[in-house]
Amino acid sequence: VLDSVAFGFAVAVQPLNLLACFIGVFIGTLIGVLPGIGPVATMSLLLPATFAMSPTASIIMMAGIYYGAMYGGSTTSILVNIPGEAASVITCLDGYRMARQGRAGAALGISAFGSFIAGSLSVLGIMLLAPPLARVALDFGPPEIFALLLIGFTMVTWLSSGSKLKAVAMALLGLFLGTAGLDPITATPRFTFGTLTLSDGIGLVPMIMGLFGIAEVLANIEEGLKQEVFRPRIRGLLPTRQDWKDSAGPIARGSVLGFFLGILPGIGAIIPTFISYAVEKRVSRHPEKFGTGVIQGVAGPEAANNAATGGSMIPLLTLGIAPNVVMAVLLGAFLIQGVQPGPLLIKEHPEIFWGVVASMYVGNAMLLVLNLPLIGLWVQLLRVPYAILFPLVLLFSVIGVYGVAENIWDLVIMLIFGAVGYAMRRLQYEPAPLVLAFVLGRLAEESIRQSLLMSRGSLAILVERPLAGALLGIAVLIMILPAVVGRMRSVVALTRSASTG
Amino acid sequence: VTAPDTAASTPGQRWAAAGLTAFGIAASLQARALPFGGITHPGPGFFPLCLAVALTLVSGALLLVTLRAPLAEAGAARSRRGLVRAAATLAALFVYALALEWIGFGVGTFLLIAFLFRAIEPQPWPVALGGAATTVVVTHVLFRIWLGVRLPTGPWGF
Repeated sequence: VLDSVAFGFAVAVQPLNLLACFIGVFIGTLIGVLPGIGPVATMSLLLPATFAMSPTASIIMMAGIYYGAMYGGSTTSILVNIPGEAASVITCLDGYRMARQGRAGAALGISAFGSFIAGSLSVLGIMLLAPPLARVALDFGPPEIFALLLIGFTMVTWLSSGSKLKAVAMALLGLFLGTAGLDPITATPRFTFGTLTLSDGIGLVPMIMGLFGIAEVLANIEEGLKQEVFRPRIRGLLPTRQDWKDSAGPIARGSVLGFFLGILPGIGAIIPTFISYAVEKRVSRHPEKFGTGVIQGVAGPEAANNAATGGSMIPLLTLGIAPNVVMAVLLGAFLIQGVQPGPLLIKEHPEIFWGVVASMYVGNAMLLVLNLPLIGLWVQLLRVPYAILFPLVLLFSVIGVYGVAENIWDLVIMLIFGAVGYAMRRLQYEPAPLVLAFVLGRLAEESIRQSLLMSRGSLAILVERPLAGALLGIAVLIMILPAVVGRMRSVVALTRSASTG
Repeated sequence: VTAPDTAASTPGQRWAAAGLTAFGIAASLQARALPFGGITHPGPGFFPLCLAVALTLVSGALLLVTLRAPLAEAGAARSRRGLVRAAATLAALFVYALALEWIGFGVGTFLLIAFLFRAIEPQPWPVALGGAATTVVVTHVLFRIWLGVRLPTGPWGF
């Protein structure tokens, strides 16, 4: 591994690759700072620009946009109380409160350092875990892939914070919407209503931009654009000894949690931040202080979302499966270059695999060096009032979606999903299960149909093959665990009350 | 963050569950028209029909839960003005999207941005018109010239 890592760094520090890395992390931070423009739209918009680049440089740049956005997203959450990126939603709770208390510098600083530490640890995780996982992945057939995806669906619905029924309904709706377009095996048109736009299926980018970007802006408009532009004086970006003492545990826990959750299909970078926040609150001696401006509420989630970006690279690089929406776009970048990510990537294209992994470490270092001095620039950017900013966010969303396929109907689809997403917010439906089921749905259909063809109609194939059976067992465990834990808790409570009574 | 299943439901949540159920039924009917195949050779309709039926069942259960839950007490009334602003923004975007190829990116964007600046969160006329013109020029340079995005031109050529 050490030789391979050295080879990776040699590739990553080549001038063109370094430049690609810098452009990626800079653009990533910029779009992370700006609310309403996420990494998915930006990466989609820049896909055509990668035609002229080498495969390694293009993937380095695209990956840089993703983890750069995680850095940038926290800046907006802390200073303006608007998540610049969906994975920084939870940072608003304590980050903005810290800024209001005059501790914006400490919040931004620990966010940057925590992100760097988590990002670096996750790169180390990829280096150690990806090669053995790639060897295991060679044993993956359709039943194993379906069982793995089932874990993703189970995680995303059962980890949703509210109504499980609503989450399951959203996941089913996402899976169903994913079936529109040509059938993956027979190419029969399904739910296309005779239109060319739908023959390729519902576009991922219009759907995401609608459900997240447009819906977010509409909700802000409804609330009266009262998101005040806070004008804090940014001082003391270097965390104090006490800040480090308070944040060390959250950063370590957030890194481990984010990395391992990020590996699982369907999780992405958002869910680990919520879990990290919940864990920090649970282990804290003063959980009541969460939401009032405690540094642990910033350090943990910010470490988690950066570690998750590294973790989510593993299924893509070793299995060729995009575990979340951003990775789906990155998969597109691989395919444009004629490179198929998967178990053979390390062997056939070591320069891409090790170069990209090493560049993530270089990129994380760049982000730390870049972001601390650039905080002032981002603050200036954020001083544009929301009343001026929101039309621009809407316009960038429109251009981003139109630019992908130059199709007006993609805009209409985006606006329909914008309206749906806005209604979902008002009616307390979560969009994440819908989107992730939509992303993974096509692969799930292909794998279950191929499994049934292989077994001549026997679903037992999902349990008879050891790896598939183990993965299915994990999915079932995740499904029943909350009920079992709840039942055990009530039994313990009953026993205690009986013994005290 | 969503409410747990046992929480009180609002009329909107009941309508949403009913709408999802109706969508599930309509989807099932549409999926039935596709070749189903069989369990040994699943056809193009196999997966969609299974999903649509499952969606109908889950949405139906959700509808039952929301109907059985107590009706939520009216909370703080949402600003009607806020709703109108959000609806007007969405309507303007729909009109913009549908008219974009007829009138071109330059004119369409100028009108959209001027409307949003002036009508949604009112700015003085010079700010609205100046902001719209600046936006058109900047986006033209950034996207059309630098990034090479082919934006609709319309009859005026821009």
